[in-house]
Amino acid sequence: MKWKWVLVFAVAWFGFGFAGQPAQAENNMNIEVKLPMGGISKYESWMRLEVTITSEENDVAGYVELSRRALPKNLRQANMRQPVKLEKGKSTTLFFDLPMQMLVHDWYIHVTQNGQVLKSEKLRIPFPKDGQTIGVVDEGGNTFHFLAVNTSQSKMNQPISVHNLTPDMLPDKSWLYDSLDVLAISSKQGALIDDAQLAAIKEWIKLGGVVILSAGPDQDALVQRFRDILPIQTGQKGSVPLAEALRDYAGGKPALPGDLGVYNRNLPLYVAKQSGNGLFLFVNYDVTAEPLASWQYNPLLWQNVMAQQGVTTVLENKRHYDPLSRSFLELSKKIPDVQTPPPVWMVVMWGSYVLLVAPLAYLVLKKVGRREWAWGIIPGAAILMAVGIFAIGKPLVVKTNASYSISEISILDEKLAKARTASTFLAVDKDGYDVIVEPSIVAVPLSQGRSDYEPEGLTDGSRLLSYRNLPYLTPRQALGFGVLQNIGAFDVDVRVEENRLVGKVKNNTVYSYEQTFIEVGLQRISLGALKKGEEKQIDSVLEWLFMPRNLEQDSPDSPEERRKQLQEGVIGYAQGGQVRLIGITTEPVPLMKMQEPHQAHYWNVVNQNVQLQPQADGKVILPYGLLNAVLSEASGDYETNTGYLWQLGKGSITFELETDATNLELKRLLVPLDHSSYRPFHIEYFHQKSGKWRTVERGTKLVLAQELHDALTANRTLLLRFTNSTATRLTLPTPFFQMEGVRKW
Amino acid sequence: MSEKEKYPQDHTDDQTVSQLLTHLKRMRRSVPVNYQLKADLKKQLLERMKELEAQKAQAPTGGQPLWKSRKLLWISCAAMVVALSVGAFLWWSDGAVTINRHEVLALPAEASVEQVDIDGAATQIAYIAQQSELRTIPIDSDTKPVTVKLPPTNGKYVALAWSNKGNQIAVVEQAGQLSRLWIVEMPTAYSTGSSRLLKEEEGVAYGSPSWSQHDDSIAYTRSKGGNDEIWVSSTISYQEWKLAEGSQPEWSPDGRFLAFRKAGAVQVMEMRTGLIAMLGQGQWASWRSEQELTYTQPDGQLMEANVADEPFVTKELPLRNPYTAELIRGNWAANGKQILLVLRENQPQELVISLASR
Repeated sequence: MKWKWVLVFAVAWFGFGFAGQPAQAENNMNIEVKLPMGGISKYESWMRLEVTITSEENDVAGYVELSRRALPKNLRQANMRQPVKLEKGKSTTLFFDLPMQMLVHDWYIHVTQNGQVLKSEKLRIPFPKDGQTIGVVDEGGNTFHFLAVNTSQSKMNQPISVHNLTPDMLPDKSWLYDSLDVLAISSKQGALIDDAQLAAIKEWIKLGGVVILSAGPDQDALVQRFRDILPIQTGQKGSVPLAEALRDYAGGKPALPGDLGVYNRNLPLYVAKQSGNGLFLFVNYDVTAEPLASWQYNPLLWQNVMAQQGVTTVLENKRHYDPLSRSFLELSKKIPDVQTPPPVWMVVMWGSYVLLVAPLAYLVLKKVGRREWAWGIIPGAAILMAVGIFAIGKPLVVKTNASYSISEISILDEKLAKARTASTFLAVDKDGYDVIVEPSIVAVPLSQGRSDYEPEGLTDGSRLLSYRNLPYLTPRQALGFGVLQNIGAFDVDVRVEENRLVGKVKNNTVYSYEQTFIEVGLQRISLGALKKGEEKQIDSVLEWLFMPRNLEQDSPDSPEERRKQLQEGVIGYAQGGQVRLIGITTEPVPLMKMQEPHQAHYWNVVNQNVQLQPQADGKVILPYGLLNAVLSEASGDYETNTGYLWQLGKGSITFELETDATNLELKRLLVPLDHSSYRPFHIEYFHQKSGKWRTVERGTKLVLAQELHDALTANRTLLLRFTNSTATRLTLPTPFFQMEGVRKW
Repeated sequence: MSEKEKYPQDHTDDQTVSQLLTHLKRMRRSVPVNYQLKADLKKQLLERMKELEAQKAQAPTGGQPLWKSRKLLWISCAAMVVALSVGAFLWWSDGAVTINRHEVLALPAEASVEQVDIDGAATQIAYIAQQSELRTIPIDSDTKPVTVKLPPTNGKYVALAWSNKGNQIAVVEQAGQLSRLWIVEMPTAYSTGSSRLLKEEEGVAYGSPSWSQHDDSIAYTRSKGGNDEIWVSSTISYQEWKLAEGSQPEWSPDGRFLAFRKAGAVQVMEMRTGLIAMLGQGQWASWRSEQELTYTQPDGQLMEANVADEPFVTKELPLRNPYTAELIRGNWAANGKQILLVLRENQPQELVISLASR
């Protein structure tokens, strides 16, 4: 019985021995995780984890691992790893960039060396913010407090939260500002913001951010550093009478007496300048200066400023992305020239082996009286078949290493473009490879988990993604986003005349396109192929579509149809009144490149927002379907399957026609309610000024011109109500509309 | 009791050994007898084999006629069976249309032939009942009958057409001088269904709706002041346009052609070029496939045409109709196998709806 005691002793020794080791190391090691801007985050943005490792007593040469599991000792189940080399008593900081959507789960950080866990720490990340987030950079804790209007006053009842930031909290990467909607800075803080931070802020504005800069008399520090966006003459300080300066924004509230000191006496109190997709709003006074700072109507004043200066428009027009770009990832899986064998073939092959080869061999051997040979022949046949399938089947599936990259490039101007990309890599004869990422792209290696994509791979924290120990012929994926420099831009000059879109388009980008089209609302006007430098004239009828043309098509049968459907998902539709020029190119755009000889395939969507030009009379027509009409309220028996057609029985549906997503001084609004589809309904619109619902005559268009402004709500929307008094369900299309006006900025 | 008393062995063992020896002796004596028996049997067997061989040698002269005649008889029978089968198959599959289910439905004599239609998958028939209800009759066992109340108006519902996807039905309503074209979303397990007014116009009469390839538009007859025109209304936009002079439009499944009736003749228009070709006198064209269509001649004869052939060739399509009712309209399901026949019965006067296949 002695050996049993020896075994127990050995197990105990190994167990305690290994368990003791990390415990000893843990005391000597420190893991600190920092989040940019104090952990402000949004569900749809990405997050950077700054992991600082300090080793007090030992040198460390191992890995920092990010894992979904609190690792069982000595078991490698990390999702992402980065190599770490650290001398005794020193610290190092590593970065893990991941979509916030992934980080909302439980995560652990482990430091490992030679397969041993030296230290573990559970990651604690604040939950992402809902609604709009405003970051305020000023020394006073209460500056810009008036931006936090009540939820009821905000659009769609979204909460607005204001967070105070210190200049040192501002990141030097533009994408990290995506956790904010608005960044409000006081010019007094200018000296504390370094050049890298400022460059990141300016790039973020172009990508769609909004910056509000407040400067009182002599507060030059930051105003002049933004002069490339909005040049403002310095040394022009003065004061303006408050009552006059605020007249357009006070909303009829009693004016404040006295004067207000301004940075530049020749400028109005608020000056907005668009830069790329974003907006820079200069506030010509110090917002902390009294008496305005504590004026009771300051929130209302700022609500009007934000609406009139276009901040609301920019925020509303922000296209909401799926941060995981699933449509990109799905499409990238369809690597051209990679043929997955049909399941039927596999069933037939294995079926023939099981049913024919083995019994057949047995029968033949029985006949010749050599049944004992079956011990060799049957396994031999299995090996032969496996080798045969491998030798013949492999070249049929894929001949060489391959990759397929799907990218969306949104051109902001000739110098800057926003990029999203997803790639799938497939190695034929290797179980590992590296992928180099372009310096301006942030990327994460992925694998398909049980229910969703999960990060998996080795990174160096910047440009290298490594995939190791891959199962045979298993594709791996990567997801990235970032910016591209100097790819040029389309030169587009188009306007709407009556029901036609006319103008010209010139391709001044670095790519040639197999297919281009202009997207106006739900309609896409094809322009055909467009080579580099080529110009095309446009003169096309605008259709009054109320649902996408491809929506009602049958579910895809063939792989090609499925591919087309996925491509449609990648192209998507613009949000909030944007006309877009879209080009499709298969030219190489290697944002993430496999470091093995391979066949690289690309499918890229390049798009650019287009501003419609005014007609000869100076009016801009935003055609039917360009602006949103969203459900505001509904009662009774109602339902929608597509979001474009609404079924209604014994009740009413109220739509909100969003005119605020424009930078137009509104002149005329037209809703084609004369169409037959609306005739079975009783239709009314809300007249804001009188506070009453007004009936629209059956079979007539709704045209509001003179009384348009009296009809619009405080959010610059028109309420339109459809009522069906019968129990029979009737269907109506979403009441899209046409808007005319004069451009403000 | 001792072990010895319990199991007395010595005496018994002696007896058994002697018995065994005796038995063995007896067996030895009997072996020669078996050898003898074996030899006798072998001899008899060889003799019998010789006899059989002798018989076999004589057989060609004696047994041949009987065997041969039997074989000939069998071959003849088999040939006849094969010939009959081939004949029956050829007769059955000469392209004729045969009624499988007669009188699936009977409509009053005053009902319109447009009041009934078969869906693309040939799973159900829809018809207008009591001028205000839409009812379906299942053809296969998986489908359940449905009754849909049409929008309560003062009009009468007179024509219908299934969409290609089979989830919607276009219905025409006539209310005095007012004509309406509705799209009825059929109820599903997840939705109770709904109706959308696609087009309303005064002083006209709509009829014979036909859905385009992707169900994104409907062609229909618009009659005003005795003139028939074919108009198209989009189901996804507010567009509508006139397509041609004529009536009874019918899109081909791939949307390349539109068959219609003009001046009593069935014509086919190629949508890309606008070229029109006449097929012959008749009405109610219906596409069986992307190239083949049928129509009904004034005498009730079903005709078929193939638009892949240039010039178009039309020929009679035999209809095995053992009933007295006269064919008015044949409407193919999208699978091209089943056709809905609308026949006029005189005794009693009514419209009889039957199902046939080719």
